[in-house]
Amino acid sequence: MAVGHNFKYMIYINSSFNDNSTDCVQDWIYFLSKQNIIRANDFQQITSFTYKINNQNEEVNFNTESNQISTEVIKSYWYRRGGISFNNIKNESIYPRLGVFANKYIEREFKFISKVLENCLKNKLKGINIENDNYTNKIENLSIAKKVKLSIPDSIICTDWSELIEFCLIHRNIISKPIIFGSFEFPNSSTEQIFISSGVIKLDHSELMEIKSKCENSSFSPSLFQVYIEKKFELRIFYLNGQCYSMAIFSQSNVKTKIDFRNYDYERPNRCVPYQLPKEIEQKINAFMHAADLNCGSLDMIYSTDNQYVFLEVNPIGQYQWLTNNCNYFIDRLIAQTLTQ
Amino acid sequence: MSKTMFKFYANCILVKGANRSTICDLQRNKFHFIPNSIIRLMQGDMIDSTTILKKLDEEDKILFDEYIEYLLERELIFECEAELIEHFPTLSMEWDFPSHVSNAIFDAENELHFFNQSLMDQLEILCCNYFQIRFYKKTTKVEIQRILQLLMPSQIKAIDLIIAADDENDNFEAWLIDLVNKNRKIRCLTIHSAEKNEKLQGENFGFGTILKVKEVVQNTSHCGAIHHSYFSINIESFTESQHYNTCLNRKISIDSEGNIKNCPSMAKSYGNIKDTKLIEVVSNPDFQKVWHIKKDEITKCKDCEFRHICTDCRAYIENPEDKFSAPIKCGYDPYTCEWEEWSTNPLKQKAIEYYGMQELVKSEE
Repeated sequence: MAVGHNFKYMIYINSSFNDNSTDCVQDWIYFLSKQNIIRANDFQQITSFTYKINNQNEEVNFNTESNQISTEVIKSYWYRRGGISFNNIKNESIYPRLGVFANKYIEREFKFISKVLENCLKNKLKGINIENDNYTNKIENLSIAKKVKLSIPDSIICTDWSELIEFCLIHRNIISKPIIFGSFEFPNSSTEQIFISSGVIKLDHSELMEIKSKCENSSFSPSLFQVYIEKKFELRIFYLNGQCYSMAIFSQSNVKTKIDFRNYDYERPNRCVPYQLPKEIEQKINAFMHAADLNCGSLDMIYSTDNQYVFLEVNPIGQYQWLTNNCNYFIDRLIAQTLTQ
Repeated sequence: MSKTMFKFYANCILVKGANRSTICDLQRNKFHFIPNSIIRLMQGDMIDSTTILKKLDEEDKILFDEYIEYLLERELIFECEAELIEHFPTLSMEWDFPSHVSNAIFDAENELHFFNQSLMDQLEILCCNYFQIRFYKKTTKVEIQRILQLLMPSQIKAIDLIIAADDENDNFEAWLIDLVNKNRKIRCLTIHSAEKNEKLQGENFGFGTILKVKEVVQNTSHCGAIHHSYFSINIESFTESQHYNTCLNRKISIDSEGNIKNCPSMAKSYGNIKDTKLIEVVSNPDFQKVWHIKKDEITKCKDCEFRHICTDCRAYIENPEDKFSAPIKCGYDPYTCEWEEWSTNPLKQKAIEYYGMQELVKSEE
């Protein structure tokens, strides 16, 4: 086998050590083309960095402890997990206060350069997602969805009880939803991590008043609430470069999972079947993904009892394994084909 | 009944048999029986109950409604509004797998003499990430260690190991348990010729099962049994069964003498591993022929309601002259829906003699 030839066509994958989807995609890449793969796991620190731009070309070269990456030899790029960051310089100056501010300044520069790096990868290479997609904004996305005329649930971010109660009176049933991740971890001791998470909670007016009665303040930290929409079924859509692969989830028949289907019922898992969205909805999704600048993502939607397709949110990449397995869509193969073609 | 149109969930698939049918629930890994008389009333995966009820007499109406209730309760069908029907497509029956060879079987007496780095390299080229090793006779700790040393750093994801019990070998069982727990590529270790059936250790994230079985696995003839306990009810097997042979597709094997075959129980050899490369054999169209013998073409199986969740065997068949004849070790009759002991069936005696299975049949009795 001509090593030199292979070297010209490398696929760079940023993932995590234990990501099974990446393993599956690598199996397909190897089966389809035997192209070389550089897989960087978790968070990689950049040890050296060069970015060049002139009238003809744009390129980026960087090294991490284990890899050498150059847009001149990498053909395609898949961001799935983890990321690349610059070495944190600990500036322990003799003037400690100066050190703190200098570090802040440098960190801000690193953020800009990271963006340059990612944009260069995105512009030059065929790719799926970039690290920055992780920071896609749920609220901004509602606004984009509205612009492309995808139906969205009435939503409110507020800080005052009076606003929230009024919202709840209009909509009767509402849900509280995390604005970003909905979970965080903190070390309780040197060996113990505590994981705090909040799923989606449904509230009606009396439940809301009960919570209010326990609160001393008239306001709270900005929180997101949406109208609770009665649904016939939920939809999960895997989107890649203009194509939608959709699955309907019958979470209604099973009382336990009525609010959030992630509460799996192992004995009787919710029925998950392939779904064909109307062309018009697929076109709107496509317009949405373009406007949100995402080439890949998993969208959550609802088919409501009044026969509306309602957009909820998009997660870049997301867990697609259960979608592809239930619907026999071969998404691992599709990702491999996208990276190798 | 007010509800009118029902549709089967796409992963609950009807398989029509000669006398009755099954609904294969590929998501929940179960099957249900359904009478053919009910199926005849349906249109594909749709049940138009208004139209159907008009055609039935009072007694049948009650029966029909009971069936609908049964199907709804088990969530095999759902009420589907007319305008949504076209949005619920059937499940794609495509089957694909990222390997030229998806599984291999290597047989040995005491030592797996052909298992070396060259073999590992050949498996890698074929993208083969899984194999099974069967030791018919007692092997040694050294031999098992040697195999694992080659295997652990390779691309192989999982193996199954079948070895003979050995009471004279010091602390053999304790040693094996330790070995299986340290080498997380061993999916299942089976110790045959044991004094009793026993599960020494259950699975842990899909790996590390250790079983002891009384059965004596001394040659290839133990294989090929067809039984409902071997049913595999999932999308991968079901779709593969539509196009390929569920036992032999993308399989390769090397018998204890090094002969490369579709399956160790089959007579035809495509060369010896000493001087033949696996990839040459795999790319031989002759070798691939049996991969394509599918259930819909096999006598008896094609009328069987279990055909797409069942295994197959092409090595031991009722008529050795006819490659489409049914597996001899299947005791199921899809025309009467009864399971019987295959080895005592008078019609099968000639073939049992042909394969020299008299000894095996006696030992099983």
